[in-house]
Amino acid sequence: MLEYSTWSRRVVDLAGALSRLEAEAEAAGIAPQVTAAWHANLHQKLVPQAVDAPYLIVAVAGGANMGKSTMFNHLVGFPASRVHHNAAETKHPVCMLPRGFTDRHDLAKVFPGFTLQPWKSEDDAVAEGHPDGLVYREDPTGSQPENLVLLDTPDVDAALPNNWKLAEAITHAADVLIALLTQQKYNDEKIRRFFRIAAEADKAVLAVVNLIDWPDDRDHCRGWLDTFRKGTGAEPLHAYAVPRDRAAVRDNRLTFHPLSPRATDPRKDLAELQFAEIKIRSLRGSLRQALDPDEGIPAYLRDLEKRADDNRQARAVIHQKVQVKIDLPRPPGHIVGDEIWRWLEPRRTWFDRKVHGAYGALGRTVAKWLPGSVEPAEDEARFLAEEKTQLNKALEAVYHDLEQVHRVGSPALRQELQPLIAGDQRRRAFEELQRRLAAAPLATEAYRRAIATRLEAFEAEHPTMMRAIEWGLVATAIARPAVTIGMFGAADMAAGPLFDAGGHAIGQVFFDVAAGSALTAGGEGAFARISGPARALIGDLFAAFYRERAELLAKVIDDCVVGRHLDRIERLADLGQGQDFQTAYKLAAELSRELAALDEPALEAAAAEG
Amino acid sequence: MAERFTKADWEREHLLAGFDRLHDRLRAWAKSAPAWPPYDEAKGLVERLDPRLRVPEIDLDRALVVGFLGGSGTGKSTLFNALLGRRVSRAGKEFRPMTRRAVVACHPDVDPAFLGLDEDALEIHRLNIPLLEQMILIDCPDPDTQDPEDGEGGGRHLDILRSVLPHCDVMVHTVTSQKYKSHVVGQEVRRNAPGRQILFVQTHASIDHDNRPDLRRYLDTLGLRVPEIYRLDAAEAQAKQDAGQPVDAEFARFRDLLEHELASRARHRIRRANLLGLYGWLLSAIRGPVDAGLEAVAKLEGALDQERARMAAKIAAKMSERIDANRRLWRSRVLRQLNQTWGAGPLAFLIGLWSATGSLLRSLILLRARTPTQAILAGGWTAVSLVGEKWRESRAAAALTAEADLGLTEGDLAHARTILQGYLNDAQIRPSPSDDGGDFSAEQLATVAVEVYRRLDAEINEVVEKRVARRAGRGVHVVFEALFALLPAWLVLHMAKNFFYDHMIQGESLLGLDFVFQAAFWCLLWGVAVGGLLLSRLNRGLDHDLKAVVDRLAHAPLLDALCRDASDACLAVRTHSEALAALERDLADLERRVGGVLDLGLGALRVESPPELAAPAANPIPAKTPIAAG
Repeated sequence: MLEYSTWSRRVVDLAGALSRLEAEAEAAGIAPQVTAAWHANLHQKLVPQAVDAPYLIVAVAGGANMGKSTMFNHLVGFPASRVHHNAAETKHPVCMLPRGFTDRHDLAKVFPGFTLQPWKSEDDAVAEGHPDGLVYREDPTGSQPENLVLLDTPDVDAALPNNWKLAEAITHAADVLIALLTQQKYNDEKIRRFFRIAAEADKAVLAVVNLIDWPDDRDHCRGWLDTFRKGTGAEPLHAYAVPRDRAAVRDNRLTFHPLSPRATDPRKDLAELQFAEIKIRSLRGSLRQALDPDEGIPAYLRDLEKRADDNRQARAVIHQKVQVKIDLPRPPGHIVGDEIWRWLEPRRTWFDRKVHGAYGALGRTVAKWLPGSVEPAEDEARFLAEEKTQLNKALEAVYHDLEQVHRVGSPALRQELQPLIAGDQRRRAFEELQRRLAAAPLATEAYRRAIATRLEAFEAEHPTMMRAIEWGLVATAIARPAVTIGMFGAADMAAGPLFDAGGHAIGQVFFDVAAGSALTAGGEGAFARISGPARALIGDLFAAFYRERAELLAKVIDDCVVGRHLDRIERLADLGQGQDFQTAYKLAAELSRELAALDEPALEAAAAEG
Repeated sequence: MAERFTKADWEREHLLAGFDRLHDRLRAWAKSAPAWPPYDEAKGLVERLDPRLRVPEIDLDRALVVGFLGGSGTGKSTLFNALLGRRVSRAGKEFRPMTRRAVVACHPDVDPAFLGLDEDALEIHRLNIPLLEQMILIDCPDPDTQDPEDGEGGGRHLDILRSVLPHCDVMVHTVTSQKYKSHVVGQEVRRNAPGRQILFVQTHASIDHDNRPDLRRYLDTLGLRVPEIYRLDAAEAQAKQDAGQPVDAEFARFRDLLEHELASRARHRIRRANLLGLYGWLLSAIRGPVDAGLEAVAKLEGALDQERARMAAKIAAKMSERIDANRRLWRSRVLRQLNQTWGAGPLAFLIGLWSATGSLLRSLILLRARTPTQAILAGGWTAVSLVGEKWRESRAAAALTAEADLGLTEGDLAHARTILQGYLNDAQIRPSPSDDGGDFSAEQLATVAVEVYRRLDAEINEVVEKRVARRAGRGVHVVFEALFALLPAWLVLHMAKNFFYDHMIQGESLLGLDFVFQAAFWCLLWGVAVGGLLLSRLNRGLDHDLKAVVDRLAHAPLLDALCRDASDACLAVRTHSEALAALERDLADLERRVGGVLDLGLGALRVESPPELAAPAANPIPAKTPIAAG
């Protein structure tokens, strides 16, 4: 026998891990399988009843207008659930608890997922109300056995899907089903399927053939029950026939004709059931159904794993395909130059500053009249216009790539990308890019700090060289009118550092900043003699500038284009590796193995018998 | 032909011609639909339903086919037998399902072969009774005992049901207290409702409650109109017939309706109503996705307009800037125009001289004119057409020039292109690209630019001409010439007095050559002053007018050509949807002429509201497989 305490612990752990996993999956866009049989088995039955449940839940189940409520009223002994001549009127399960049940048990834990409503009148069951409502009452007569919980359920076949949902959910919690059958409906596909699922979960079944013409139909009843047995696989413990009798219904005194050898009256027979055996069988049956390899928890886990795989693949594809290469235009020379001068300012000698100032003014005046020279403002405008063009084109390229990925991607990925490449989203992204470009100053505070840091590091590394530059400035102060520092070493940038500008783990967009090719501004090139480290320094300073600009696009792409969705892809991709997934997987596998080991001797015995 | 063509015949022919026309137009509509997913879907639907839509069928003198549909045990077979007055189809409660094949009851004269059913699927009973003279009754298997997923065991009776129902003109839907709300049966009724009439019957009247009010509510949620529900007990009727007693009133009424009203009198009417119902259902099934799709198309069009407006605004801004920056150019153009208008006259001559020097300067400027706008401002279309020639030769280079000059960058185009692509995807429109490189391409922009320039030139020309004509017309010319002539005239008088009076009579000396030079100098100065006055009068507010021109251009549909492919595709989709509306009007017209069958107590699918809207919750049937057409 499956050790009660060891596996109940693990079932609770499994349910916890699965709940967390489902929450994670839901956050990433996978709807939880609340309607699946395993879900109901696990949460409605195994978790609430595995630890401590010395009671049996008996549910009256069947199709619309078959007399479920009538049967229920008979079982509880008074009209507790309204009987209506129209079909599909019972919209909420009605639960009759033995006296003192609520003192011993927490009802919210016995029926998780239901909105519990105390019984007020027999009309509660037919009232429109909460879609998850369950009406409960403690047995007022005191005649109900203390370990028996009785349930009336909505129909399983009429045109109100919420009724089926409730009926199925509550039935999963039950140990014993009272199966209502009529000559019209006993072999309906919906009814058959409903009881087949219950039979597969090893629930005990009492069959009641209702609305018959007694005794004309006596012989038919046996045939109908045989068909029911064959169609559902259920083996009713007892079977009864109930004649059609409106007066009896009204007075709540049904006549039961036993159709099986030891059957008397369901009320009496229920009280005499072998509680422990039925309980364990139904729990084990529920566990078996929950762990069904094709439809149960293993299938769900497999499904999750597959989604995770898909998304991992999607992540790889996006990573691979969505890359933009931007040829940022030649930066305005004075931007970098000015910043370097600004940094040098406090370090310069008075003489140097004065001479440079004077020559600088002269140089600027002269430069204005030189052919091919450009004003700083004009240079900036040109840079901004070209940069805007380039960034717009880059964004176009990103969208083009995304569309390619969308076209060839898996269905899950396509669904994920669909809203991303819609027109409205594109417009937002472009507008955001224009807005941010307009708002971004050319040289930001961050850039200034980057330059300062870099220069200071350089000074610390090569103090002599910095001294030389400073002295060189003094020296050239006399020699040059227009040499500016900003332009030297530009050719080094041709190699162009490949850097990532995005902060996002997956939204990394690589910018191959091939800047150097365009960097020929200024024209002086007087510092060509400067040795390696200094050239690297200048290269870095420009790269820092470009990084600033490229980051702007990367941020737009991250914020407006793909970010949030990639987040989901990322989360889904990692789902299969999480702790909860591993736990659930391990527990499900263990329990399945043990269950199979238990079933084996039983099967062998059955084989030996047959 | 001996018989005369009666008025009724005429009407009938006329009606049939109407059906023919509707059919032809629907087919033509489907055939000529532009490539767009909702239209493709519509095409498929029309194709599938075509055998049933064809007209000759409806007026054939063949018997009315009545099928019985209902859950297992609701008394289909019992009712069938009771109507025939004998036990033909096996009825009872020993097994479920009882009827596993279609049981056909027909007159010996009628050949049920036109049903095209498989021999295994049905058993045929030929009975020589009056009821069957104009009617075929088919008892069908139930839809609710077979598991559509496993299908074993119970045989394929669900499939048989689905192959029989498409042949029925009228369905008799039987329900009981237990089964009237059965989901499976309800869906089957819905699936088969298009294009046929339905009679609703609650059976087991003697033992069951009357559930008709609730049933009516339920059928209403399925999108069915329900004029009447019969409530009868077929078993009792059968028993009474066996015993030779008269059947009860409701059953007799029902049998009467079938035998006398439907089968003989209203047969053609029912068929026509069925066909119209089918058309109505088909058109609303087409209309739903089309309308949903048109929303996306409208969004696309809005986006196109927005992008165009954005570009037009940029172009306008750039051009106003140009007008401000190139005052001299357009002023010289006014001068030239003035010169051409005035012709002869001393001031005109002087201005001509001025203009000539101006032209010389202008040609120099033209050499420097780097952009078409400058060229237009200065010299007009001839200059631009030269540029245009060159553009046509090399499109790529032209595009660059056009972008720079129009104030648009490649980035703006990329921006517009990308957004357009997004909305195109949303609207599922794939425009066929024309040879000019596609929407918002640089090439397309170049073509548009040439057009913009041509219009700009023409407009500026008009503004200048109008202005010269209004502010410097003949009267003004005379006044200014007179004004200008004042000084020379006085000088001539003065010189004449000097010569004839002072010199000849008084003997004073003649005015010297220096006087003539000085006079000429002052004349020139006077001319400049007068001319300056004239030109300032002419030029005042001209920049304002030119900007108004730019503004007009920005709002003109000049940029429509910028994304012609997409807007053409949108237009095609729209036009075709309007053609669908015309079809709907045709159908409504035909419906008015045929008239309904409501008076007969027949139910059917409500046409006025699409079924998708009527029962959104309980409608798992995808639109693609609406019915099992035979």
